[in-house]
Order: sequence, then structure tokens, then C-alpha cells
Amino acid sequence: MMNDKKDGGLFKLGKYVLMSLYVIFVLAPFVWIAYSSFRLESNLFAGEFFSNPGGLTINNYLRALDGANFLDFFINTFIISVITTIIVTFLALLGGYALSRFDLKFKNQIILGMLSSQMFPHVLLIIPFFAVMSGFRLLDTYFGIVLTHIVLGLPFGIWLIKGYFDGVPQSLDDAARIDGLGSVGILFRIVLPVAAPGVAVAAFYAFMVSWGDYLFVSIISQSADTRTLTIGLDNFLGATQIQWGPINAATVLTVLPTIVLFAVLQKWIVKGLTSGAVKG
Amino acid sequence: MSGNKDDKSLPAKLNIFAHIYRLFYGNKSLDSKRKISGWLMLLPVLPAFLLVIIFPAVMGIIQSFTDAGIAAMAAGIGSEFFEIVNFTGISNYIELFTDAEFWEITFRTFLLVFLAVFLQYVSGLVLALLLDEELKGFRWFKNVVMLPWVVPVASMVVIFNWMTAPNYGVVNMLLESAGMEHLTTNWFGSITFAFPIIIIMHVWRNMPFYALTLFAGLSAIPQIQYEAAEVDGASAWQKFRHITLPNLKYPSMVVIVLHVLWTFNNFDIIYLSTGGGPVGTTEVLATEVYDLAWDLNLMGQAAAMGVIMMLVMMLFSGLYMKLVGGDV
Repeated sequence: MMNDKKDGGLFKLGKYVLMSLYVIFVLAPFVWIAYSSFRLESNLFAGEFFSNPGGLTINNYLRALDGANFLDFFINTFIISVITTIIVTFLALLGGYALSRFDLKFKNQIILGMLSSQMFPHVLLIIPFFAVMSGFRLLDTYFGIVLTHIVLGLPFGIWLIKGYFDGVPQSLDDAARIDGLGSVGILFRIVLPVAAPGVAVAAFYAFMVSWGDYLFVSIISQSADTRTLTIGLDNFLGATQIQWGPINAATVLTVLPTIVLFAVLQKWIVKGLTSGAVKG
Repeated sequence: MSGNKDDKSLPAKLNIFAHIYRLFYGNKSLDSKRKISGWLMLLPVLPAFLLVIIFPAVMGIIQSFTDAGIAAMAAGIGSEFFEIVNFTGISNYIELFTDAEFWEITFRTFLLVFLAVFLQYVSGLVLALLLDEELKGFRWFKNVVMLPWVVPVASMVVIFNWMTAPNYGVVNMLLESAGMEHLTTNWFGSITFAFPIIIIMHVWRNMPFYALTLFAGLSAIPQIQYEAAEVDGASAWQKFRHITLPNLKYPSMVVIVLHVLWTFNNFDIIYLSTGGGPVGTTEVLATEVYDLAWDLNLMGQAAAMGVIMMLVMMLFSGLYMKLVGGDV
């Protein structure tokens, strides 16, 4: 963008070197964990970068899936995140549309309140949450964890979707209204298809929050029945004799769903997350 | 709406739907009908806000004036809670303010926020400028650069633990092969290096967010401004200083404020990687609140510390809005 025709070759080379350093800094940890997860455990501790060609194996994955309830934790995490994502997306759609299109009383206060919820330290939230969950006998249930994750993901989701809806011209709504569609019809048939990228971002964010949460699950979950992957990884890491082979494999399996989902929605996510900051 | 036509053709008394319809909509104008649909759409969301904003704030403030422990919390939110706990006035706050460790932890938290956000911003800005150059062979990078941001913190911690492991971590292996064996160490277990590694993890995770936000900001700068500057014979530095930076003011403010809040309140990066150790050298307010509440059973004192955190962040946000509110 900035005119670089006048740049010397050395300056240009410097840019490429710097960029390569960034690529290494960002991606090397992923490459290293993926590579390590396929290495024979005996080779992991040999202090060599490469071992003989026969040194790759899926044994670590088999051991991870076999032991320590990993598969149960994976299923728990999956169920909790998927339900959370669906509910958050649906509620954020309605809420975001209402805040974008209707001239409601206290609208600005509600939006301000949502943003200020980002200010609350989660470690403070968890104390009263524990009381609520205990009071309603929701400790150690999927429902309790899902409820918590919904509350965590919703404000940002609404804010994202509202921002996206703000970008859809009101004239689309008006035309549909003349054609006889009600507010709900307009939302789902007219505005939603246009704002789909924003909705995808909100859904991804909700999934990410739920999939990666440690703090709230650590308090609400009381047994292996509701424990999730993040707790499982922490337990793995806390063992006196750390089993690096299976842990590396378990980590790759924990990271993989978020990466796959990100890859699918990547273009929208990058746009959706950064647009709010540029609008001015 | 076709509803009006339908209810005329039915006896109004029998048609409960028409009755409800009229309750909500009555003879009101189209505009207020729409307002009601708006509120109905917002209805399921409002309890969530009550739960996430008003209730915890009130409950947290009440708790901070009591000697509540886990037993009191397990009793739920009814009257039982008030039977179990004793109100102790401001003693939780006094205890914190007279404790040297509290001030040490507070200082460390501020230091972490400052260093992490500063490094993230500078490295993010440089990356944004590089991305904007559209270097040949590196265009794909902006599509994957967000990866560190999307993986769970717990897995990031495992990855960094594995890379910095004492004997067979890749960091030590690299140092050895570069002939710097004397520098190899147990990084997370080291009083000197645990805190810097935590900062590096913060940078690794969040720098891409800055980079992409600032990159989007760069793309929005009208090219004509640069062309005009060129006509005036401006140097590259002058263009950067007088066109690029001022145009990035708003996106910069947004990312910085967001990350000050996130970093200040972040719990799991430190808790999962060092747990505040070794010997408390990485303890911050968020991890200390958790330890006080769930390990030491001092819910009241933990709540007091949480309330202080909340007030600090409110003060910060208020100050920010005052500074920015005027000119954006």
C-alpha cells in the first residue's frame, strides 16, 4: 500500500525476514505439538529434533483415548458446547435484531450494560454463580454448565450481531413489511441471510467460549460425569509423572475442533471481529 | 397484519388469541406494535443480563462485607445464606489494604497488563504494517494468524509447558544446539523466567487480534492521503507519523481497552500454567481471588478483592469513555 518502489533491496529483505519471524512465532508451537504427538515416546525424551524414519506412531492417540476418561470428557465438552452455541446464537439473533431495529426505551442502557459485563472479573462472577447453581441444585449438571456458558457468551454475541444488522439497510425491512411479513419473518427470511457472516462469528465465539472454559466448569462440575477437556488437560499436566506422549495427543484432539471450525468460518470471523473496531 | 381481519369474523369473546392480541397491540399505532415485538424478542435475553450483571454485582458486594465461606455459598441464595454468615463491616477490606502481599500482587497485575498490552500493541502494529505490504509468498498468513486466539487456554498452556520442559523441551534443545547450554533451565519453575513466559503467552495469544484489527484500520485509510503527502515530498516516516498513526487512533483505542480489561481479569493463563508460583512470583489479583475463595475458604475476603478489581476496571473504562467519548 505505502509506496515501496523506492525501497532498497536490503530494506525489502528485512521485511521478509521479519515476516518469517512472525510466521515462526505464531505457527511453530502448533507444528511442534502436532509433530510431537506422533513421535514415539522414547524419542520424545532423547533430546533430538528428528529421529529415525520409523519413529512416528499413532500410539499416543490410542493411549490418550484409552485412558483417564478422555473420551468421556470429549463427549461432555462436545454436548455442552453445541447446546450452548445453538441457544446463544438463537437468543443473540433475536436480541441483536431488537436492539438494531427497534427504537426501544433504555436501549442504550442495555447496550452499555452488555459491554460493561465484559468488565466483570469472572473470578468474582463465579462466587455468586456457585450459590445460584447450588440453590437450584444445578451443580454437576450439563444444564448448570450450559446455563453459565450461555450467560458468558450472550452479551458479546448480541453486540456482534447487532453490529452486523446495523449494516443491513433498513429499506430491506421496509420492503418486506409492505409485502406483509411480520418482524419475525423479516428477521429470519430477509435480514438473516444477508447478515449470515455476523451470525456465524457470534456462533463461533459462543462455541469457543464454551469449549475453552476452565474456570466455571472447575467450580460447577463436581465429578467425571460433567468434566470437560480443559479440566482433563489440567489434570494430565498435574500428574506427578507427566505422560507427555498421550498429553500431546490429547492436546491436539482438544485443539482440533476449534481449528476445523475456524477454518470453515475463517473469512467471516476475521471480518466480523475486526469490523466493530474500524467503524469508528 | 392479517390478524385484524380474522378476529372480526369470529365472536370476540371466544377468540382468546384476538383478546391477547388486543392486550398487546390494542389500537396502538404501527410503530408501537413494532416496539412490542422488539421487547418480546429481547425478553429471553433480559434475565441473562440480570444474572450476569446486576445479581453478581449486588451479591458480590454483600458478600464482601461478610465472613462467608464455602458452606454459606452452598446454602444457596435464600435466607439460609444470611443465617450462616456474619456481617463483619469493612474488615475484609481493611485486612486487604493493610496486607503488604495484596499491594505486591496488585502491582504485579498492573505490571503484567502494562507489559503485555504494550508488547502486543507494538508487535501487532508491526505485523499489521507487514500484512499491508502484501509481501509475495506471505499472503496466506493473515488467514491463519488468528489460530492462537481460537485454541483453548488450557491447550496453549500444555503446548508452552511441553516446549519449555526442563530436559527435553524444544527451547532447551535449541539453546543446546546453539552452544548456549548454560542458559537452559526449567522455565516455568524459574523465579526469573516464569513471569516473562506468561507475558509471552499473552502476546502469542492476543497479538494476532491487534494485527488484524489494525490491518483492517490500515485498509480503511484513503489512498489519496498518501498520494497528497507524496506530492508534498513527505518521507516514509512523516507519512507514517502524520497519516497512518492518526488514522489508526480509533481502532487502537478499541483493541487496547478491550485487552486491558481481558488481561486484567484473565485467570486461566496464569492459574493453569504456574498457579501463581514459583513462590508467588506470578500471582495476580484474579488467581488470588480464586485461591482465597476455593482453597482458603475465605469467600468474603475473595469477594472484597473481586469488588476492588471491578471498581478499578470501572474507573478505567469511565476514564476511557471520558477521554474518547468527546472526539469520536
